[in-house]
Amino acid sequence: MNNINGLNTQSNQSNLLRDALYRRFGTEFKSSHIDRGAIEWRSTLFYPWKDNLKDEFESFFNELKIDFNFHMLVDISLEKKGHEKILHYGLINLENYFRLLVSVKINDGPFIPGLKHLWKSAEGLEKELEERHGLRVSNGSPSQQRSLLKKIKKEKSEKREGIRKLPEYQLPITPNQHDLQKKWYQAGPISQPLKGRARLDFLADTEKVYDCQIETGFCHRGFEKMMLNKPISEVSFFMERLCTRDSVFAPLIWNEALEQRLQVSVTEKAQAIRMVWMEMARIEGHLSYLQELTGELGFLIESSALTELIEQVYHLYNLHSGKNQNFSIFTVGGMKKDLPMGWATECLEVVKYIYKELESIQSKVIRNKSWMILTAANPMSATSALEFGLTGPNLRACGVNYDLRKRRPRYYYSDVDFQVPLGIDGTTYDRFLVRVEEIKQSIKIINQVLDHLPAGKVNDPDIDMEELFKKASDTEPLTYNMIESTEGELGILMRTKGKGLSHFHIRSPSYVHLHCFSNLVKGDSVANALSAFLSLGIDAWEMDR
Amino acid sequence: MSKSSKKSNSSSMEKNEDLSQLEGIAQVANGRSLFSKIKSWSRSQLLAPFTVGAGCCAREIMRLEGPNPQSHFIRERFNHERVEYCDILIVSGVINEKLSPYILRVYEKMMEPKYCVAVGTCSATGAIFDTMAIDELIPVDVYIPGCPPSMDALVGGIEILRSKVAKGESRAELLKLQANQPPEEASL
Repeated sequence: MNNINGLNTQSNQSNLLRDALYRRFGTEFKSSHIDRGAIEWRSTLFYPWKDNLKDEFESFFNELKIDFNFHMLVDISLEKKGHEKILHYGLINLENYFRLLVSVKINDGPFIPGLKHLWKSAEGLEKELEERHGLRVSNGSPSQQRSLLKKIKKEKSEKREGIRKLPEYQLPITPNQHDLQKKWYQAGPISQPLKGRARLDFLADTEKVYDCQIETGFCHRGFEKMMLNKPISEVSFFMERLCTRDSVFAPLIWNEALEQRLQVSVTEKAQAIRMVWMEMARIEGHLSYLQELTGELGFLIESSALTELIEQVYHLYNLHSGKNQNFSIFTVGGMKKDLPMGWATECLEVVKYIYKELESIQSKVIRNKSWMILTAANPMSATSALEFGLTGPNLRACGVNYDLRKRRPRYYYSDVDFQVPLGIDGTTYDRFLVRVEEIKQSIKIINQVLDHLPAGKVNDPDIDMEELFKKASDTEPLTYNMIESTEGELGILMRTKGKGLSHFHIRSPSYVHLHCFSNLVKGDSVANALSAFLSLGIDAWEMDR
Repeated sequence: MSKSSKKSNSSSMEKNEDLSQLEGIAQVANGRSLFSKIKSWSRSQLLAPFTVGAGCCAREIMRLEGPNPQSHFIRERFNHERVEYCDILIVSGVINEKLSPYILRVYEKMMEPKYCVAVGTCSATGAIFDTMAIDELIPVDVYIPGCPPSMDALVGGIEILRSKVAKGESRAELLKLQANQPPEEASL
């Protein structure tokens, strides 16, 4: 099912690292579960929480970071098993692409130790634990308001219509009362460039931003918790509505995770079509990003030209699935529908048109002097990008060559010829340009795949899900699956139980990207801050879940 | 000169009297004058919508401005930046406890008479995510169903809204009127 040819060279190094880890920590790391034939090694460390063991906990993670080079903390998720609470920390060693999942059991202590001083990305992820699960983190920065969904009882006799009074939010007090020039300014969540993504409180004077506080949760739906009560067959329907940028990657990753869990193989043609769909979604996502950014910075003609190109991608979606978003086209084992007659030629023509138009738009924008001045601000270095756990085009704009399509190629990505565009400074300009180049590379991939489209069926009609679940119900392992989505690594961490889920967590790139924002804008003007926010490519629904 | 000015004055006075008479004549069943009718009709010709919410529906709303065959029927802009100059609130996507005070704040700032459109099932009923419905917060004039609604449904919904604005049938105004009226005494 998966091509792992590109990984053989790396696997020796990872074996060495694995042995070193085993020698150091010994019995605490129980199993080396190899998954998908890749170098992912899963370990379980059950760590009983007591107050006096806090230093040991911190020194353990310190050792992992400094001695074993786990420079990226990708994700933290909380699993509840009856009365037990388990924290899963996802770490990446970029040198030999080694992933580690550290599971820590926590008892009902007063708080859990924070890892903010080791990885900066921990700040946002721990804030999420506080906000969504009510845990308390030592040296954490709690949010202003917890995002909880209280169920409002709708009584029939009660009059539904009419304005109801709700509590209002107050701005934080300026730390130094004597400093009259600095003030707290509030942006969002409804106003135009933010559009429900977040509320940003800037501490600023007329020139500079001194501090920025981020408040999220305005589109929180309780997605992960809701999925625990649903049968597995329904989850795909919800996953289509996880992200608003595109509805391809989220349902695809869910189906892949199920295939991985039930050990179902995908037919050759379906693999190729999935690749085309993924690249189309990447084109669409990047185009809508470019459209928003150019529109916000005043390049209105280019912006409207880009909307026309997005319509072209919608046209391709429509021809195959009959919809332009929320298309239920993926199933376990392949695709639901085969390609209609003449779709491939139509796609090639559209893609050629997009390439031509994009070149002309690009030539108008990137050499424009006002564009260069507007977007030269907010640089980010590669080291701080890694510390904040950035992935996808935002990381590549800082100059780090990390693409899951190259590092962990599945389908035919190892056979396809494409390049990974990189930026230099990590400014808004770089983030824009990396995406433009990525669209061109995606077009290159689509051309190659459609030229060598394999024959055969797109799905296996004999798959009996119930039997497969019966077979798989003996064990309940953790399954992690990730994909290089438009904005970075989208991942699922799940544990199935019978026909339902006992743990479900989504690693969303947007949430992690948002928390590097306050570092990005400090010392710059407020006007640049808003364009920098747009340049991170944050999606509201995917972020808040 | 003086004569002519006097004449013109008198004529304008006469005109005013005529108009007031006309106004009296032109009163329709729901008690609206001709002038208010003209006002609301002209308001309906170019709506000033303010969009709230992110989601799949918001993406469809943005497409109304784009190069579509359906967007020929639409002459409005949907990305207004100032709330103060808008009188139509278009709500789409999920509304939760945390966002709702901000929606109310936007609604209070809007011009009168206020209209509200709920786009998609999420904002209309809470739908699959089981969140808040917008009509728990503010009175809604037009519901456009769909997940997300098709372009035709959106254009149709806006046409319905246009006819409602032309008639001056604002749900919020109606509720206000009902609240101000004294309770009916039970007839014996």
